[in-house]
Amino acid sequence: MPYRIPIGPFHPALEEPYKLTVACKGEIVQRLDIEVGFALRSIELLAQQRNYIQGIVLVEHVCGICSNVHAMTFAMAAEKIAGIQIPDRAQYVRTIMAELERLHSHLLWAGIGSLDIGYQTMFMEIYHLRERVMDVLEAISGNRVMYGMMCIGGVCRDITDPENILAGVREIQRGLEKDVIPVFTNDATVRARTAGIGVLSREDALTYGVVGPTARASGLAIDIRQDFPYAAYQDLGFKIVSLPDGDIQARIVVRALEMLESVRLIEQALKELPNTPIRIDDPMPVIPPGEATARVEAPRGEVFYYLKSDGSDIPGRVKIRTPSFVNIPAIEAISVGQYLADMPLIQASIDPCCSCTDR
Amino acid sequence: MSHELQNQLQQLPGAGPVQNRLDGIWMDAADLNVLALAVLMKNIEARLTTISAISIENNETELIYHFAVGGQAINVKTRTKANVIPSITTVYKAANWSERENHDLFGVDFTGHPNLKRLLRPPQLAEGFFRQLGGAAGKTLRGEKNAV
Repeated sequence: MPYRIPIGPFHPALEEPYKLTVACKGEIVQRLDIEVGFALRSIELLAQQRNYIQGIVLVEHVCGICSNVHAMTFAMAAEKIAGIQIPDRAQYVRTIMAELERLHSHLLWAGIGSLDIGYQTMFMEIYHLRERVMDVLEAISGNRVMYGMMCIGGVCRDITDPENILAGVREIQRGLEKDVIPVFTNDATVRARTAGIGVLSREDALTYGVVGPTARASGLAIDIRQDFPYAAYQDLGFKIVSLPDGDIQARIVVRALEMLESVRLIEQALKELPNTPIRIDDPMPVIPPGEATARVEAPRGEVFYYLKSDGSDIPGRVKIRTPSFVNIPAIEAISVGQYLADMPLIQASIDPCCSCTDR
Repeated sequence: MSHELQNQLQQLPGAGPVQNRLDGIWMDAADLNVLALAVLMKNIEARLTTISAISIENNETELIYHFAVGGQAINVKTRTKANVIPSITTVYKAANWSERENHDLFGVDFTGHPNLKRLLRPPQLAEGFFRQLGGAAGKTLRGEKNAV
């Protein structure tokens, strides 16, 4: 007789609310129900009651980890409708911010993942390194999270001291190469807890429509930075990281190697920062009637915005599809047949973000 | 590929005019057979990004099915009839949560969905909470001054 165990809404792995109800036979998971909605703030609806400038601040609060990416995607959609071409330096600053945010998010996951694996020392090391990323972000924007860097038509603040930022990024690179990458790719403890566990097949990845590192670890080479290049990715020559195995180990390795690519992109962008203004002259551009979609590769995968304007200062409709919204349902596919004791790590391995999912 | 895809879209039952825009192919087809669209997209290994819903007059909903295959985006716009439309979850598992979300927030009834439960809001509350006007019309309704 299968028995049912509720996991959540308050979670063993992440301090965010969503509920898994696991039906088990013995120690083996047979079925899984997922419930979300515990952090619904109706941001899409609120965005239809605020003007575009207020909207940027609002959508930055969709997620506490990948906040910048939401403001950027919203601005990109508005710029597309208005036919605004932002200056080259703004494209580079946007890329640098996006990649720093990816480093901060992947390191956050790596820390929590280490805790789930039972590797406390690694958690300490990684969170120490993550602090360096936060310092760099603070040096650029003045904020540790919710950077307030994006505006329609460019960015709000310039990077005035690229050499100093570059030194900070190189320190992060040394930490990644010395500790994080070797442990996540070769360590026996990590492999024992992750190899062959929570496998998502390529077929399931396609049917569930998963995105980001979860898709790339299942052999799907999809990345918005490659498929729909935006900001300065085309100039900088982005290289995709993809593995065929589909297990937790593959998801960990994809994230780890992506961090090195992020460091390379940031370094190159800092060295090649174009000498142009950081935003267009008009501080409050009128968004004419029209509609547009915008896609950006957030740390967890594709963020999608649909924006409709009626020509007034308030959007007619703002639709937000976050990566966790499509990744979380796939937990069902990777959990069935696995040990109950592996559930905290299995569900954490897709890096679910509930405030994103619920909006 | 874009040209071939546009031809295939135009041959769907109930197809409408197709446009090539900055953000991909767009088709506006109020009477589209969405299941035929889903089968076509599945055959070309397209990924369902999401389904956007917009509240329109007469308690109907405009739905936009967003797909992506490689570097090609496809956006197909259609309309509900009496706020009802066939579900494509049987073809695309990825549509499951999108349809449940639009059922919850816009009250759309997706016929044939295997489990059309509310996704985000508690079942005690009424469906269609997001059926509120945005833009200038919403401002007028709320009694706010139009700045532009």
